Amino acid sequence: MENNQVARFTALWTQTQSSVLAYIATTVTNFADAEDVLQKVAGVAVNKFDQFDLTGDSRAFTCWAIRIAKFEVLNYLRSKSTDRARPLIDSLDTIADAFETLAPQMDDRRHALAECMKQMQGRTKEVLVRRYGDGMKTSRIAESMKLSPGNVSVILNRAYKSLRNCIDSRLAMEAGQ
Amino acid sequence: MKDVQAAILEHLNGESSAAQSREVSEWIQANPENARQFAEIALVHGQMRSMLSGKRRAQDSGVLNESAIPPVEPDFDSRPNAKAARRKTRLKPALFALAAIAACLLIAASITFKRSDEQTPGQVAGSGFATIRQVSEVVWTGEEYSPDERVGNGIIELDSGIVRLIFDSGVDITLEGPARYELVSGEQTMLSAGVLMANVPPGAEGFRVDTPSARVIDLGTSFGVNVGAEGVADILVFDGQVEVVSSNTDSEMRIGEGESVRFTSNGAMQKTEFNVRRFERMWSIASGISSASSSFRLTPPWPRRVRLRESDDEIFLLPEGYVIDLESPLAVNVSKPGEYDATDQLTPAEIATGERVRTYLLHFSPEERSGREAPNSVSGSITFDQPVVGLIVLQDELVQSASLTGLRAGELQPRRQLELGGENGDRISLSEDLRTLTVELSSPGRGGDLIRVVVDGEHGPDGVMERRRRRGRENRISE
Repeated sequence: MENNQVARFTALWTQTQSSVLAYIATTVTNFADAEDVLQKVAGVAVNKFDQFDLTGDSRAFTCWAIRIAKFEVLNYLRSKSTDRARPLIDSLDTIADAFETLAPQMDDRRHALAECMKQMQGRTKEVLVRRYGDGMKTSRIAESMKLSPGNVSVILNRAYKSLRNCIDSRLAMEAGQ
Repeated sequence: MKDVQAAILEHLNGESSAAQSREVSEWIQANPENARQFAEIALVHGQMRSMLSGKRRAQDSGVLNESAIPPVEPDFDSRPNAKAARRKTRLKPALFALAAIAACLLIAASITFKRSDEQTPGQVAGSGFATIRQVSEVVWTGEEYSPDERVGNGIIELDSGIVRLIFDSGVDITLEGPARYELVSGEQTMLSAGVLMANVPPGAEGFRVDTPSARVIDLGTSFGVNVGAEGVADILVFDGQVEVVSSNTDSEMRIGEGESVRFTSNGAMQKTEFNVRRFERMWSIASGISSASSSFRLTPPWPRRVRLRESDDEIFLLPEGYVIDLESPLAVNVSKPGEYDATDQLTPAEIATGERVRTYLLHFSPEERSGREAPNSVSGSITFDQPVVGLIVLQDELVQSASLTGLRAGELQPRRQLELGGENGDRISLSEDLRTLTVELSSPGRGGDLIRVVVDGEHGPDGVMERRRRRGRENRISE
């Protein structure tokens, strides 16, 4: 039974952790800090795993983990005084609800994103790798690529537009099959 | 806000002012549709971080000197994260193992790490028990592997893409992400998440794939396992038989070709409809095909019967099962590289008993219709990941070889063979490295064209090749 639980938790967490990180990162905008919070969420989820309804599916697990994440985000914000993040405290529940509505699609969305990322090339890809792979801020990306910060923002914004379009059309295609 | 997405991105990047972030917050709260849009963008943001940071870390860890990275023992204390170490004291003993696993997973998301020497597959060349064969568009979440790398005890984790690996015993595994697959030994593995296809050749029976809810023990077969997030395991048998054992109840049962069962997380088992859709993306790789031009269509190898479908512009490719050791010599019509457009150019040969091969059937058959004026023709190239050791293109040899792949000879109608040469003749060529077959086929309303491709069934590392040579010597001695 214990081994089962271990394997089960592992399976659920493997699929869920990037969504939970996404939720945390809506408010904790520094990736390293967000990943610290994610680690805490995993610790809590492990400790409380016996409270998780074992008949629940991955969707239920994602929602459950996001509720845990909400408390951990609040804990984190209390320990810091980042003015910028504060305004979103009020929205944490609303965002959690929105994540919940997306929960059934999260896996498909992740697949779609992985596929769509392959279309990213050249400068756009380089900006994304620096931003998400290396965690660089816009100004540093601009400096390292000899671009203006405005340029980098525009490239990121465009990349998101085409990624979202690509994800939507992939999801529509899947749904149509 | 003028450009909502731009404002949201600025916020997510931590680069907006408090006033701007407040504006984003108000926009989110304005209505559920806005909140959903925000969540969609945030999801891309978070998922992209998970994907790219994992990839980047894996690259870095390959470059960094090993001693610079603290090895990770299955214990918190050795991890360079003091906070996690402190947490250890609060964990219930029973859940400690669980926490350790969770922590291991998280390491991928937070700190660079390297497993200890004996657990680092890339470092144990020669001492592993499997070889990475193919890596296709993989986003790694754990250690990064490359083709021909030796793998021993360790974990393969990927977010997306497909990896194929061959055990020294000949067991052929294809894995599609997101997946977590642990190699325990050459005979035992554990799939916690993901989709896996296994081809277990004769001699390697007993190979095990454990899942959270059931163990799958091979009895000489080809099977697929899909472990979903709920720990639910779907097990499909494409060929042969497997034994499945529920992890909870220890109840066993055998399932055979064309059957599938589902184990839920509480160990309950139910028969399910045989649906291969989830395996389709991976199976050209699982079938040993490196690439094929668009005129080729792959047909699933199960159920194992010839599905001679008609099409004017497509060549159907049917892998005929897993690797087999020939029990009698196999006559082929083409055995050497070159171009063939006349029957007298053929290079007949026999593939010896005991050779390990895998076969494929190529089939071109335009739709039957009356009043056809010009013959249909189609051309294309296909590259296999192993050398082609022979092509069978003539009727007699096609029928003879059909029995070897489990097809009934009667299923092959007469006049399904190549008509080499002539005005509307077929042409084929085999590349110098024996891996690429190029065909120009025309079928002037006869029965259709058929080619059986015989590919070397030996895999990867020198060890296996060496065994093969040894076996060849033994055969000669015993003769």
